[in-house]
Amino acid sequence: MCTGRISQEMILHAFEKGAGLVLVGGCHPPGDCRYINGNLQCEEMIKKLKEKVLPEKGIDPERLRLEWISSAEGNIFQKVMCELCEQLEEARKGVRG
Amino acid sequence: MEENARAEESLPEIAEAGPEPETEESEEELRIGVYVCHCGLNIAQVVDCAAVAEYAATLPDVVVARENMYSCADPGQIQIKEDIAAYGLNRVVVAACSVKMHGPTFMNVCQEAGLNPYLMMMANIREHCSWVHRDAPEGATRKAMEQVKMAVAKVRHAHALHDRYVPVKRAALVIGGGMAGMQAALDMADAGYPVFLVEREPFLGGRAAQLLRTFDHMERMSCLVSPLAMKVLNHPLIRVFTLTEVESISGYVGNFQVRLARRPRYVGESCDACGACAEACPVAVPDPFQVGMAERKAIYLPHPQAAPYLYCVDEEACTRCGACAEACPRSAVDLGMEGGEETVEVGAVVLAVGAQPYRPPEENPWSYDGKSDVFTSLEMERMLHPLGPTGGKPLRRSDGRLPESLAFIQCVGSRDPEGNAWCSRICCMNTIKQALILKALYPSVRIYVYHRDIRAYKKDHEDLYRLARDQGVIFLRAPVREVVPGEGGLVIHAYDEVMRRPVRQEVDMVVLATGMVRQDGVQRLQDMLKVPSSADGFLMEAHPKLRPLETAITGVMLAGSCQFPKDLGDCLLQGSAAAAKCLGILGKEEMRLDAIIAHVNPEKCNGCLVCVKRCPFSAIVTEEAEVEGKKRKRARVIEASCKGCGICAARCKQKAIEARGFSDPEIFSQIDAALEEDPGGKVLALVCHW
Repeated sequence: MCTGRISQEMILHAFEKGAGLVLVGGCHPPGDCRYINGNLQCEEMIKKLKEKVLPEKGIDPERLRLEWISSAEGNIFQKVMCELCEQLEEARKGVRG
Repeated sequence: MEENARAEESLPEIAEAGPEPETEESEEELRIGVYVCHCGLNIAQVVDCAAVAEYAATLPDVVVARENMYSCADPGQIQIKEDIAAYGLNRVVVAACSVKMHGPTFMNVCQEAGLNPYLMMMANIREHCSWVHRDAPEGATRKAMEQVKMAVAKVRHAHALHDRYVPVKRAALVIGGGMAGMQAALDMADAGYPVFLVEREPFLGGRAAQLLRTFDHMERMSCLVSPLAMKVLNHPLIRVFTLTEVESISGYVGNFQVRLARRPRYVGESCDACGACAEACPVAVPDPFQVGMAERKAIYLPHPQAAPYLYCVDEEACTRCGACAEACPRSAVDLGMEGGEETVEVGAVVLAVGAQPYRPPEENPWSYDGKSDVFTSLEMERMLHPLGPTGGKPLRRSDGRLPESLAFIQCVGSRDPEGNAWCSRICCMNTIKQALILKALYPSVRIYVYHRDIRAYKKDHEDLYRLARDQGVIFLRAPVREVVPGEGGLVIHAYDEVMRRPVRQEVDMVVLATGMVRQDGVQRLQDMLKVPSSADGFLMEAHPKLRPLETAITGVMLAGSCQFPKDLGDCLLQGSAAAAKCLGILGKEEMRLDAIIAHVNPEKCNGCLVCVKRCPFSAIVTEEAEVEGKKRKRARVIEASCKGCGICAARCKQKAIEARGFSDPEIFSQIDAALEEDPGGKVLALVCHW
């Protein structure tokens, strides 16, 4: 399965269920995709979500993040996850404060 | 079953498509077994496996949950098999390592116990949990529980799937007649399968034919190239197509249809290479075989060991004056000769299209312009060759003199963070080889090698490196900033990293140890075959360790430097290895492909055909169907071509496409399970399987 398999509905469903943040991660464009351009097709979908669909639904587009991380880049995955955890922590503080 | 009949009708190319999965929710009672693996201490020293198994037992429809020391070892496998029989399990979840590691093992366990292998799911509580949360065992245990919950949720929606079988055309296509391609062709032909070897140039041998010696044992390259080319040309099962390119290629593993377009040679088989034609030819052009340092005629043989041993007309240079045809004593020259097309059918393809040497751009810091006394390593190689442009002598372009001092500059066009970031792997040893040849011919010549590191990494390489130092070659760890013309020579400005100071040196000649870059004209092949390349332009393997010979396209293998820069030994090795991989396909009458593919529900498809446009593999076609008396277009998946990416399913507005193994119910149920508790405190990651 590819990031291209991820549909808009899956991400919206996750937010409906209350997901704090959603990360979509795939292989570096343009060439690293096992399925040629699934990553680029995903990027196009995410862009539309962030620019149009999420704001219309009142969901902060910052809660959705797209990152290209190859399976050999554990350090980058770690960095991104740590950043996301921090972001989540900040958002929670914001709600509490 | 009705659906199945229809599918087989419309898919004659599939020998035995399995029955369609049931589209309705199954009525059968779910009986799920969960197995939590300790992986020795890999998992168990962080995750409380007993607690995870205990938790799993509380999940709906889980009838048995156990821990194992090693689920993948025999006792673990036997336990699962026994439980499938004893408890009547119809779903299995194994919480252990990555599915990429042991997915096939546990699928096999289920199959042997009579359970469809696609009814098994893995939860990766090792790489995704215990290994990355070593310092947080409590959190890791909670996460492992949720991972198991997600897998159980997904497996509830799993369907029995059936692998695909496609008949195999038991012949192979090799694209590229260099050393790797020739070796691959020879090995497959020796195993008894017909091979079509396609080379776009008029002669076989590729880059190796231009070189003087190998650097492993200083062997004469022609003693390696020529015998291999002869074996290939004389093999009864190999058909060599020179001057030929792949015009189009379609199909899938086991069944590729390839159209070949051949350009005319203008010289027939009766040519005995007497050379009278070239003597008569009035047109002289720079000879690419001599890297432009000498001229050749428009009708030519690049070197006396060329294979095939037939002259050839350079179409672009030829003026059609006819002098060659008149001069030929055997009437072998035919300037009216036409090219042709031919279609071949093969089961497997080897891409061995090679790489090319890096050419410094017009503006470069080394004063290389093809006119000064700065040479590339290939130019030096040709000069050292007895049949080269200077008769085997490294002569300065400026005054035709032999150099008294000479500097090699390493990593030109390699290891540049701003440009070609990769190490080209051959340049260090090639420089050492050329330095040794020069020292043998001219012991008094002073040789300096400006390098960043010397990478002498293979068997016997270190010995050659030591030999070069013993013979007085001076190695300086000093990256070069620039080379500028000096008085009668060339001035090198570098930074000595050992002494930590700038250095300046004047030499008579400079050789740029140029790296390797992507071959020209590969994009068309890539587009046709859908083979990806990595950011550096080299063709990409399916997995750098687990599947280094295969591309993402099943049935298409890589050999030689098209994948990344390789020396001759590695090219030949990979040629044989790629042949072995192809033989794994050619040896069978039919191929098994996994069942993770897309399926269009014809009832739901409204014929919008977004999927046809979106599919990167052209695996979805449009067909006309009659629905309620009206003709309507709808989509159909060519099962043998589908790679299972699922892009179509994500884009189908009608939800008419099921991505088997990653269906909407499966993924949504995982999302629900993951977000059941404390969703606001979680990051949900949707990531590529690869």
